[in-house]
Amino acid sequence: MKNKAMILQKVLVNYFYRMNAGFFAFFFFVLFGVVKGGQLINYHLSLMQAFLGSGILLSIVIGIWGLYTLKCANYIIRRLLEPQQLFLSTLNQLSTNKIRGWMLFIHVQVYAPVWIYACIAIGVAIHNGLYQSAFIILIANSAFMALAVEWYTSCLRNHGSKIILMQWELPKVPFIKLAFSYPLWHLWKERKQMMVLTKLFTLVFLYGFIQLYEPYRPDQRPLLLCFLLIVAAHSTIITQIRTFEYDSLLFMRSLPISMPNRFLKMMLLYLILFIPELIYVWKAYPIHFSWIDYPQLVWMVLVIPSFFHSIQYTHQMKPEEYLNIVFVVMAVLFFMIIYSLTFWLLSLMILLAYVFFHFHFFEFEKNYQNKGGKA
Amino acid sequence: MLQFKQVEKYYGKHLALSIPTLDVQKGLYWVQGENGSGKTTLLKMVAGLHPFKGEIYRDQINIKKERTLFLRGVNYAEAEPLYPTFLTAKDLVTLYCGTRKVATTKALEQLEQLHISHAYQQEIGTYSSGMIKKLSLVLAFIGNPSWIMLDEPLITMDVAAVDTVSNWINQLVEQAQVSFLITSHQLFQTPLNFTGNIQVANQSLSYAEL
Repeated sequence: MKNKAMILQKVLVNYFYRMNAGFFAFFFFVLFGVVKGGQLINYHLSLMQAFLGSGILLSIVIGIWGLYTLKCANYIIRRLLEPQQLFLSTLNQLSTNKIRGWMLFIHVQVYAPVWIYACIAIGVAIHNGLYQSAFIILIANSAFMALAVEWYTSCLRNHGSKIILMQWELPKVPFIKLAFSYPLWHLWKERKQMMVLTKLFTLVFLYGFIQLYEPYRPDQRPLLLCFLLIVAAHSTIITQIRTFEYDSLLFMRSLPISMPNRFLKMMLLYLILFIPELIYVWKAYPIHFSWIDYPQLVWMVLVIPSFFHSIQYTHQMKPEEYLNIVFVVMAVLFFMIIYSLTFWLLSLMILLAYVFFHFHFFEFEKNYQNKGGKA
Repeated sequence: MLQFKQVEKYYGKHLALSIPTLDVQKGLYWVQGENGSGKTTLLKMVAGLHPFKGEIYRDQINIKKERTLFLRGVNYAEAEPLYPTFLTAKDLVTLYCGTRKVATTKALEQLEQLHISHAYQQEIGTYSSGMIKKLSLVLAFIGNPSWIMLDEPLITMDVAAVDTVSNWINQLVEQAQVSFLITSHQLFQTPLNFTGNIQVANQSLSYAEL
């Protein structure tokens, strides 16, 4: 019993939080970093009272929780379907209800950020006599949890054959796929949920920022901070791209393509990845930024992902190491943005990224230290 | 000519291959050795896929100092080729021809000769392992390489295709003076005019002329 819990915890829950650390950092900043410490409780109480008292806002919040449920389900199901997790199919020896119990044990942990917040919201609703809102939140979250548990159970029982989550296919495209775009096709083909949900979250965040924040005077720094968080929310996608590159695009190493060309193609990839945000941000023009500020936003979404991508060539990084670097870079950039030194730091970062890329691109290979031979 | 100087390849702490010095003149070579002896490692180092210690030169061009120029003259086909399943043969042929700066005409003819041109615009995910192998061989013949590395070119292919590829090899060796390093555990049905054998054993290479 204890062993099962430990294995499930290690394989599914810890993995989920490790993989999504960038995503949680993004929400941590949004929920706790935008107001001063003393105002934090009042800020969240006001936020809760706002959505508890408005049907539309409550629907939006429940919609976001639903998206988070999809995100959890996507990760756990993909994890369960990985060949190396095949040993978990031994759980099938248990009765269906027992499997549900274990899956609930998993889901309660990955869904914790939402259900804890939802419980507090229910408490606030009851305290304010908003029983209908409290009831809706309770029902919605129970339904989301039950649905996720059913998905996981079905996945284990049928080994994924009945999972229909975001399985739509793109129509065949008549044009040639360009080499720089292969990771984007991969994301769309294999990591649809991750891609769609990250984009939804970041666009909703950008929408909220533009709607709720009104600067006293033109100042690009808040928008740069906003984009910093948006890039951080993509840190998992950047890791996915790098993994795909090593696992499936190794053949491209043998092609006669110069290093500057390879590096520019990587930057182009990230420019395309952030096009939705770069277009949507024009909704904030001219209140939040002037056209002169725009190149700096573009520079930011080119440089930071390229830097995060390039540092992963230096050696086979553990997820914790990578995320530590992401956090440090975010913290340094935060202060540089505040002191309007962003351009210079970004320029230094792109130089560093190229140095890492140039000297490690062909030298990188999987860590064989503990294997004593080829993997 | 291929030159190896103080080449060592480690996987972690395990020495997989050590080549103190070796010059391989132009020609057609059969690289032989047991499973796990380092044949694929050798080919992958020359193809720029594996990092290693030491120096490898192709016609005085150092792979580490002038990699793009070096790779312009080296093509490689893997034993078990792996491509993203969403790509088509058209995507890959266009990529390879683009980087090697040649037209796609010859590659299309070769796909036709191997009877896979009907799948040119299909995703590789729909291909059989034999079709993927054929595609990888066509890609390895694109451009004007001076060396082509073929890792187990015979596996998973039908008899007719093996003959066709063998004829391509003989033609290129005789008419265009292209050199080959070929690993294979099987005998070729169509005789190849091998210049010599390279034996890979005990983490080292030995060369024998035929």
